[in-house]
Amino acid sequence: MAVAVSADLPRILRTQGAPLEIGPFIVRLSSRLPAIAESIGLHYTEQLLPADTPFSDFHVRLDRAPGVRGVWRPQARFYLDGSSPFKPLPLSQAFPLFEWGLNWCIAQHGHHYLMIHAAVAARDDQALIMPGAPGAGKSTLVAALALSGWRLLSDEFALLSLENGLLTPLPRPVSLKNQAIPLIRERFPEAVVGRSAHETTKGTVAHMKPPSASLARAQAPARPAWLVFPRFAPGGDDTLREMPKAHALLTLADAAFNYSVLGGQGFEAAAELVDRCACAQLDYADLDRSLSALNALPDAP
Amino acid sequence: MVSGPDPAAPTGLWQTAALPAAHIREWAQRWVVYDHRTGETHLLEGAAGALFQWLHQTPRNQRELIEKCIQDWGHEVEDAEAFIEQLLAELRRRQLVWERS
Repeated sequence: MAVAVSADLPRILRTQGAPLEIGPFIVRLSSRLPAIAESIGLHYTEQLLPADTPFSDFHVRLDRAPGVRGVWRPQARFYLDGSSPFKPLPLSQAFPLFEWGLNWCIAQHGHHYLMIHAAVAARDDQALIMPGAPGAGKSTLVAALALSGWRLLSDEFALLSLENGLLTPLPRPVSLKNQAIPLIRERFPEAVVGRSAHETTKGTVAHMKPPSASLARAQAPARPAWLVFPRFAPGGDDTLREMPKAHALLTLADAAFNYSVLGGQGFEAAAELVDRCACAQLDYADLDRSLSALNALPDAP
Repeated sequence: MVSGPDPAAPTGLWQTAALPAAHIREWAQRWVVYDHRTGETHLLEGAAGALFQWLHQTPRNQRELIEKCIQDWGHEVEDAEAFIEQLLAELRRRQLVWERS
Protein backbone atom coordinates (compact mmCIF):
# COMPACT_ATOMS: atom_id res chain seq x y z
CA MET A 1 0.00 0.00 0.00
CA ALA A 2 1.47 3.34 -0.99
CA VAL A 3 1.68 6.14 1.57
CA ALA A 4 1.25 9.84 1.08
CA VAL A 5 4.55 11.53 0.41
CA SER A 6 5.47 14.07 3.00
CA ALA A 7 8.09 16.63 3.81
CA ASP A 8 9.65 13.76 5.72
CA LEU A 9 10.86 12.08 2.54
CA PRO A 10 14.36 13.62 2.55
CA ARG A 11 14.76 12.65 6.21
CA ILE A 12 13.54 9.10 5.59
CA LEU A 13 15.91 8.77 2.66
CA ARG A 14 18.78 10.03 4.83
CA THR A 15 18.01 7.68 7.73
CA GLN A 16 16.31 4.28 7.46
CA GLY A 17 15.65 4.57 3.72
CA ALA A 18 12.41 4.76 1.76
CA PRO A 19 10.83 1.47 0.65
CA LEU A 20 9.51 1.62 -2.90
CA GLU A 21 7.09 -0.94 -4.28
CA ILE A 22 8.16 -1.50 -7.87
CA GLY A 23 6.07 -4.28 -9.34
CA PRO A 24 7.05 -7.53 -7.60
CA PHE A 25 10.11 -5.98 -5.97
CA ILE A 26 10.57 -3.81 -2.90
CA VAL A 27 13.55 -1.51 -3.06
CA ARG A 28 14.74 0.29 0.06
CA LEU A 29 16.49 3.41 -1.11
CA SER A 30 18.74 5.58 1.05
CA SER A 31 20.31 8.81 -0.08
CA ARG A 32 21.51 12.15 1.20
CA LEU A 33 21.34 13.68 -2.25
CA PRO A 34 18.71 16.43 -2.65
CA ALA A 35 18.36 15.52 -6.35
CA ILE A 36 17.37 11.97 -5.41
CA ALA A 37 14.81 13.19 -2.88
CA GLU A 38 13.37 15.52 -5.50
CA SER A 39 13.17 12.80 -8.17
CA ILE A 40 11.73 10.17 -5.85
CA GLY A 41 9.17 12.74 -4.69
CA LEU A 42 8.24 13.40 -8.31
CA HIS A 43 8.29 9.92 -9.82
CA TYR A 44 7.65 7.44 -7.03
CA THR A 45 5.13 9.17 -4.77
CA GLU A 46 2.51 6.50 -5.43
CA GLN A 47 4.95 3.67 -4.84
CA LEU A 48 6.29 4.68 -1.45
CA LEU A 49 5.59 2.19 1.32
CA PRO A 50 5.61 2.87 5.06
CA ALA A 51 9.15 3.38 6.28
CA ASP A 52 8.81 0.47 8.72
CA THR A 53 8.11 -2.04 5.91
CA PRO A 54 10.07 -5.02 7.21
CA PHE A 55 11.30 -6.72 4.04
CA SER A 56 13.12 -5.44 0.96
CA ASP A 57 14.52 -7.24 -2.08
CA PHE A 58 17.22 -4.65 -2.68
CA HIS A 59 18.94 -2.23 -0.31
CA VAL A 60 20.19 0.57 -2.50
CA ARG A 61 22.09 3.69 -1.55
CA LEU A 62 22.92 6.66 -3.75
CA ASP A 63 25.44 9.10 -2.35
CA ARG A 64 28.28 11.33 -3.25
CA ALA A 65 31.37 9.44 -4.28
CA PRO A 66 34.07 9.94 -1.65
CA GLY A 67 37.45 11.39 -2.49
CA VAL A 68 39.19 14.66 -3.26
CA ARG A 69 37.89 14.66 -6.83
CA GLY A 70 34.40 15.26 -5.46
CA VAL A 71 35.42 18.75 -4.36
CA TRP A 72 35.62 20.19 -7.86
CA ARG A 73 33.73 17.54 -9.84
CA PRO A 74 31.10 15.96 -7.57
CA GLN A 75 29.94 12.49 -8.46
CA ALA A 76 27.22 10.09 -7.36
CA ARG A 77 27.84 6.45 -6.57
CA PHE A 78 25.37 3.54 -6.52
CA TYR A 79 25.62 0.99 -3.71
CA LEU A 80 23.80 -2.33 -3.47
CA ASP A 81 24.00 -3.99 -0.06
CA GLY A 82 26.98 -1.79 0.70
CA SER A 83 29.05 -2.64 -2.35
CA SER A 84 29.37 -0.47 -5.43
CA PRO A 85 29.21 -2.36 -8.71
CA PHE A 86 29.58 0.65 -11.04
CA LYS A 87 31.83 3.60 -11.65
CA PRO A 88 30.47 6.85 -10.23
CA LEU A 89 28.73 9.32 -12.52
CA PRO A 90 28.43 13.10 -12.37
CA LEU A 91 26.12 14.21 -9.58
CA SER A 92 23.69 15.61 -12.14
CA GLN A 93 23.13 12.01 -13.32
CA ALA A 94 22.27 10.64 -9.87
CA PHE A 95 18.67 9.73 -10.71
CA PRO A 96 19.49 8.07 -14.05
CA LEU A 97 22.21 6.19 -12.17
CA PHE A 98 19.57 4.94 -9.71
CA GLU A 99 17.36 3.77 -12.56
CA TRP A 100 20.20 2.07 -14.43
CA GLY A 101 21.47 0.47 -11.24
CA LEU A 102 18.00 -0.82 -10.50
CA ASN A 103 17.89 -2.40 -13.96
CA TRP A 104 21.07 -4.22 -13.06
CA CYS A 105 19.66 -5.39 -9.71
CA ILE A 106 16.56 -6.81 -11.39
CA ALA A 107 18.52 -8.44 -14.22
CA GLN A 108 20.79 -10.11 -11.68
CA HIS A 109 18.06 -11.45 -9.43
CA GLY A 110 14.78 -11.90 -11.29
CA HIS A 111 15.37 -15.40 -12.57
CA HIS A 112 11.92 -16.64 -11.67
CA TYR A 113 10.90 -14.74 -14.81
CA LEU A 114 12.07 -14.82 -18.38
CA MET A 115 13.33 -11.23 -18.48
CA ILE A 116 13.14 -9.64 -21.91
CA HIS A 117 14.62 -6.27 -22.77
CA ALA A 118 11.33 -4.80 -23.87
CA ALA A 119 8.76 -2.12 -23.27
CA VAL A 120 5.31 -3.43 -22.37
CA ALA A 121 1.87 -1.83 -22.44
CA ALA A 122 -1.57 -3.37 -22.13
CA ARG A 123 -5.01 -2.73 -23.53
CA ASP A 124 -7.80 -4.46 -21.64
CA ASP A 125 -5.16 -6.65 -19.98
CA GLN A 126 -3.87 -7.81 -23.36
CA ALA A 127 -0.20 -7.02 -23.48
CA LEU A 128 1.87 -5.58 -26.28
CA ILE A 129 5.53 -6.50 -25.89
CA MET A 130 8.09 -4.42 -27.77
CA PRO A 131 11.59 -5.84 -27.53
CA GLY A 132 14.31 -3.67 -28.93
CA ALA A 133 17.89 -2.60 -28.75
CA PRO A 134 18.67 0.87 -27.36
CA GLY A 135 17.55 3.46 -29.89
CA ALA A 136 14.80 1.30 -31.37
CA GLY A 137 12.16 3.71 -30.09
CA LYS A 138 10.51 1.45 -27.54
CA SER A 139 10.58 4.00 -24.69
CA THR A 140 9.07 6.73 -26.85
CA LEU A 141 6.37 4.40 -28.11
CA VAL A 142 5.49 3.01 -24.71
CA ALA A 143 5.39 6.50 -23.19
CA ALA A 144 3.02 7.63 -25.93
CA LEU A 145 0.86 4.52 -25.51
CA ALA A 146 0.72 4.99 -21.74
CA LEU A 147 -0.46 8.57 -22.30
CA SER A 148 -3.06 7.40 -24.83
CA GLY A 149 -5.10 5.03 -22.70
CA TRP A 150 -2.89 1.97 -22.59
CA ARG A 151 -1.60 0.65 -19.28
CA LEU A 152 2.15 0.93 -18.74
CA LEU A 153 3.64 -2.33 -17.57
CA SER A 154 7.28 -1.56 -18.14
CA ASP A 155 9.73 0.56 -20.06
CA GLU A 156 12.67 -1.80 -19.77
CA PHE A 157 11.70 -5.34 -18.78
CA ALA A 158 9.03 -7.76 -19.88
CA LEU A 159 8.77 -10.05 -16.85
CA LEU A 160 7.26 -13.26 -18.18
CA SER A 161 6.19 -15.68 -15.48
CA LEU A 162 7.68 -19.13 -15.93
CA GLU A 163 4.70 -20.56 -14.07
CA ASN A 164 1.72 -19.17 -15.94
CA GLY A 165 3.04 -17.26 -18.97
CA LEU A 166 1.55 -13.96 -17.78
CA LEU A 167 3.38 -10.65 -17.69
CA THR A 168 4.05 -9.05 -14.33
CA PRO A 169 3.92 -5.24 -14.35
CA LEU A 170 7.07 -3.35 -13.42
CA PRO A 171 5.87 0.25 -13.69
CA ARG A 172 8.78 2.65 -13.34
CA PRO A 173 9.62 6.02 -14.84
CA VAL A 174 10.05 5.81 -18.59
CA SER A 175 13.53 6.78 -19.70
CA LEU A 176 13.18 9.29 -22.54
CA LYS A 177 16.27 10.11 -24.54
CA ASN A 178 17.28 13.09 -26.65
CA GLN A 179 14.62 14.08 -29.22
CA ALA A 180 12.00 11.96 -27.49
CA ILE A 181 11.97 14.39 -24.55
CA PRO A 182 10.56 17.45 -26.37
CA LEU A 183 8.48 15.14 -28.57
CA ILE A 184 6.60 13.67 -25.61
CA ARG A 185 6.43 16.99 -23.76
CA GLU A 186 4.86 18.74 -26.75
CA ARG A 187 2.60 15.93 -27.88
CA PHE A 188 1.37 15.17 -24.33
CA PRO A 189 1.50 18.33 -22.18
CA GLU A 190 -0.02 16.38 -19.28
CA ALA A 191 3.04 14.10 -19.07
CA VAL A 192 5.05 14.45 -15.86
CA VAL A 193 8.65 14.63 -17.02
CA GLY A 194 11.52 15.31 -14.64
CA ARG A 195 14.73 17.22 -15.09
CA SER A 196 16.95 16.42 -18.02
CA ALA A 197 20.38 14.95 -17.34
CA HIS A 198 22.82 15.93 -20.06
CA GLU A 199 25.90 14.26 -21.46
CA THR A 200 25.06 10.82 -20.14
CA THR A 201 26.26 7.74 -22.01
CA LYS A 202 22.85 7.82 -23.71
CA GLY A 203 22.87 11.54 -24.44
CA THR A 204 20.27 13.68 -22.71
CA VAL A 205 17.92 11.66 -20.52
CA ALA A 206 14.71 12.63 -18.72
CA HIS A 207 12.26 10.34 -16.97
CA MET A 208 8.50 10.34 -17.33
CA LYS A 209 6.35 9.35 -14.36
CA PRO A 210 4.05 6.40 -15.03
CA PRO A 211 0.40 7.48 -15.25
CA SER A 212 -1.53 6.97 -12.00
CA ALA A 213 -3.97 4.61 -13.70
CA SER A 214 -1.07 2.29 -14.55
CA LEU A 215 0.29 2.44 -11.01
CA ALA A 216 -3.14 1.67 -9.58
CA ARG A 217 -3.05 -1.66 -11.44
CA ALA A 218 0.59 -2.44 -10.75
CA GLN A 219 -0.29 -5.82 -9.27
CA ALA A 220 -2.53 -6.96 -12.14
CA PRO A 221 -0.74 -9.24 -14.62
CA ALA A 222 -1.51 -9.10 -18.32
CA ARG A 223 -1.83 -11.77 -20.99
CA PRO A 224 0.66 -11.56 -23.88
CA ALA A 225 -1.15 -10.79 -27.13
CA TRP A 226 1.21 -8.96 -29.48
CA LEU A 227 4.93 -9.12 -29.99
CA VAL A 228 6.10 -6.14 -32.01
CA PHE A 229 9.76 -5.49 -32.76
CA PRO A 230 10.20 -1.75 -33.34
CA ARG A 231 13.10 -0.29 -35.23
CA PHE A 232 13.65 3.44 -35.49
CA ALA A 233 13.82 3.98 -39.22
CA PRO A 234 13.71 7.63 -40.36
CA GLY A 235 11.79 7.56 -43.62
CA GLY A 236 10.02 4.34 -42.60
CA ASP A 237 6.31 3.96 -43.27
CA ASP A 238 5.20 3.03 -39.71
CA THR A 239 3.35 -0.04 -40.85
CA LEU A 240 3.27 -3.36 -39.05
CA ARG A 241 4.66 -6.25 -41.08
CA GLU A 242 3.98 -9.78 -40.04
CA MET A 243 7.12 -11.50 -38.79
CA PRO A 244 7.65 -15.25 -39.11
CA LYS A 245 7.27 -16.78 -35.67
CA ALA A 246 10.52 -18.71 -35.96
CA HIS A 247 12.38 -15.46 -36.62
CA ALA A 248 10.52 -13.79 -33.78
CA LEU A 249 11.64 -16.52 -31.39
CA LEU A 250 15.31 -16.13 -32.35
CA THR A 251 15.12 -12.35 -31.99
CA LEU A 252 13.30 -12.70 -28.68
CA ALA A 253 15.96 -15.07 -27.37
CA ASP A 254 18.60 -12.46 -28.22
CA ALA A 255 16.63 -9.83 -26.32
CA ALA A 256 16.17 -11.89 -23.15
CA PHE A 257 18.60 -11.07 -20.34
CA ASN A 258 18.50 -14.54 -18.80
CA TYR A 259 17.63 -16.82 -21.71
CA SER A 260 20.87 -18.77 -21.41
CA VAL A 261 20.63 -18.86 -17.61
CA LEU A 262 17.22 -20.52 -17.77
CA GLY A 263 18.21 -23.05 -20.44
CA GLY A 264 15.38 -25.22 -21.72
CA GLN A 265 12.89 -23.53 -19.41
CA GLY A 266 13.71 -20.21 -21.06
CA PHE A 267 13.29 -21.68 -24.53
CA GLU A 268 9.92 -23.20 -23.64
CA ALA A 269 8.68 -19.92 -22.13
CA ALA A 270 9.86 -17.92 -25.14
CA ALA A 271 8.36 -20.43 -27.60
CA GLU A 272 5.01 -20.37 -25.80
CA LEU A 273 5.07 -16.59 -25.84
CA VAL A 274 5.72 -16.50 -29.58
CA ASP A 275 3.07 -19.13 -30.15
CA ARG A 276 0.33 -17.15 -28.46
CA CYS A 277 1.24 -13.70 -29.84
CA ALA A 278 0.75 -12.06 -33.19
CA CYS A 279 4.30 -11.18 -34.27
CA ALA A 280 5.26 -8.12 -36.31
CA GLN A 281 8.02 -5.67 -37.13
CA LEU A 282 7.49 -1.94 -37.00
CA ASP A 283 9.66 0.54 -38.88
CA TYR A 284 9.02 3.49 -36.62
CA ALA A 285 9.50 6.94 -38.08
CA ASP A 286 6.52 9.06 -37.07
CA LEU A 287 4.99 8.86 -33.60
CA ASP A 288 1.39 9.51 -34.60
CA ARG A 289 1.45 7.06 -37.49
CA SER A 290 3.05 4.36 -35.37
CA LEU A 291 0.57 4.99 -32.57
CA SER A 292 -2.27 4.57 -35.05
CA ALA A 293 -0.81 1.28 -36.24
CA LEU A 294 -0.46 -0.03 -32.68
CA ASN A 295 -3.92 1.19 -31.67
CA ALA A 296 -5.34 -0.69 -34.64
CA LEU A 297 -3.93 -4.04 -33.53
CA PRO A 298 -6.87 -6.44 -33.51
CA ASP A 299 -7.77 -7.98 -30.17
CA ALA A 300 -6.37 -11.42 -29.53
CA PRO A 301 -8.95 -14.21 -29.87
CA MET B 1 22.71 -44.32 -67.58
CA VAL B 2 22.36 -43.49 -63.92
CA SER B 3 18.72 -43.87 -62.89
CA GLY B 4 18.90 -43.45 -59.11
CA PRO B 5 21.15 -42.92 -56.12
CA ASP B 6 24.46 -44.72 -56.13
CA PRO B 7 23.73 -48.16 -54.65
CA ALA B 8 27.17 -48.01 -53.06
CA ALA B 9 26.26 -44.92 -51.04
CA PRO B 10 26.67 -45.28 -47.27
CA THR B 11 23.64 -46.95 -45.79
CA GLY B 12 24.02 -46.01 -42.12
CA LEU B 13 20.86 -44.61 -40.61
CA TRP B 14 20.75 -40.90 -39.91
CA GLN B 15 18.63 -39.65 -37.08
CA THR B 16 18.06 -36.49 -35.09
CA ALA B 17 19.70 -35.95 -31.73
CA ALA B 18 17.65 -37.06 -28.74
CA LEU B 19 16.14 -33.74 -27.68
CA PRO B 20 13.00 -33.13 -25.62
CA ALA B 21 9.92 -32.68 -27.79
CA ALA B 22 9.27 -29.34 -26.14
CA HIS B 23 12.61 -28.09 -27.45
CA ILE B 24 11.68 -28.61 -31.09
CA ARG B 25 9.17 -26.11 -32.48
CA GLU B 26 7.90 -25.61 -36.00
CA TRP B 27 6.02 -22.74 -37.55
CA ALA B 28 5.30 -22.52 -41.28
CA GLN B 29 8.00 -25.04 -42.13
CA ARG B 30 10.62 -23.20 -40.13
CA TRP B 31 12.10 -25.13 -37.26
CA VAL B 32 13.60 -23.75 -34.08
CA VAL B 33 15.53 -26.28 -32.04
CA TYR B 34 16.98 -25.73 -28.58
CA ASP B 35 19.88 -28.00 -27.71
CA HIS B 36 20.26 -28.23 -23.95
CA ARG B 37 23.65 -29.92 -24.37
CA THR B 38 25.22 -26.86 -25.96
CA GLY B 39 22.79 -24.10 -24.99
CA GLU B 40 22.45 -23.23 -28.69
CA THR B 41 19.19 -22.29 -30.38
CA HIS B 42 19.08 -23.24 -34.06
CA LEU B 43 16.87 -21.89 -36.81
CA LEU B 44 16.38 -24.36 -39.64
CA GLU B 45 14.71 -23.06 -42.76
CA GLY B 46 14.19 -24.34 -46.27
CA ALA B 47 15.98 -27.55 -47.16
CA ALA B 48 17.77 -27.82 -43.81
CA GLY B 49 14.42 -27.62 -42.03
CA ALA B 50 12.87 -30.18 -44.35
CA LEU B 51 15.74 -32.62 -43.88
CA PHE B 52 15.57 -32.20 -40.13
CA GLN B 53 11.85 -32.88 -40.31
CA TRP B 54 12.32 -36.04 -42.39
CA LEU B 55 14.83 -37.39 -39.91
CA HIS B 56 12.75 -36.28 -36.96
CA GLN B 57 9.86 -38.36 -38.33
CA THR B 58 11.96 -41.46 -38.75
CA PRO B 59 15.65 -42.38 -39.16
CA ARG B 60 16.61 -42.79 -42.82
CA ASN B 61 19.74 -43.78 -44.68
CA GLN B 62 21.45 -41.48 -47.12
CA ARG B 63 20.03 -43.30 -50.12
CA GLU B 64 16.47 -42.75 -48.89
CA LEU B 65 17.21 -39.09 -48.31
CA ILE B 66 18.59 -38.68 -51.80
CA GLU B 67 15.52 -40.38 -53.25
CA LYS B 68 13.26 -38.07 -51.30
CA CYS B 69 15.28 -35.08 -52.42
CA ILE B 70 14.85 -36.11 -56.05
CA GLN B 71 11.16 -36.87 -55.58
CA ASP B 72 10.17 -33.81 -53.52
CA TRP B 73 12.47 -31.17 -54.94
CA GLY B 74 13.14 -32.42 -58.47
CA HIS B 75 16.90 -32.45 -58.11
CA GLU B 76 19.10 -34.33 -60.55
CA VAL B 77 20.72 -37.37 -58.99
CA GLU B 78 24.25 -35.97 -58.81
CA ASP B 79 23.00 -32.68 -57.46
CA ALA B 80 20.84 -34.46 -54.90
CA GLU B 81 23.74 -36.53 -53.61
CA ALA B 82 25.95 -33.51 -53.14
CA PHE B 83 23.10 -31.47 -51.67
CA ILE B 84 22.12 -34.11 -49.11
CA GLU B 85 25.75 -34.61 -48.13
CA GLN B 86 26.15 -30.89 -47.62
CA LEU B 87 22.96 -30.63 -45.54
CA LEU B 88 23.85 -33.63 -43.42
CA ALA B 89 27.34 -32.25 -42.83
CA GLU B 90 25.88 -28.93 -41.67
CA LEU B 91 23.31 -30.55 -39.37
CA ARG B 92 25.97 -32.88 -38.01
CA ARG B 93 28.28 -29.92 -37.39
CA ARG B 94 25.50 -28.41 -35.32
CA GLN B 95 25.17 -31.77 -33.51
CA LEU B 96 21.50 -32.00 -34.48
CA VAL B 97 21.79 -35.27 -36.42
CA TRP B 98 24.07 -38.27 -36.23
CA GLU B 99 24.72 -41.39 -38.23
CA ARG B 100 24.01 -44.75 -36.65
CA SER B 101 26.36 -47.22 -38.24
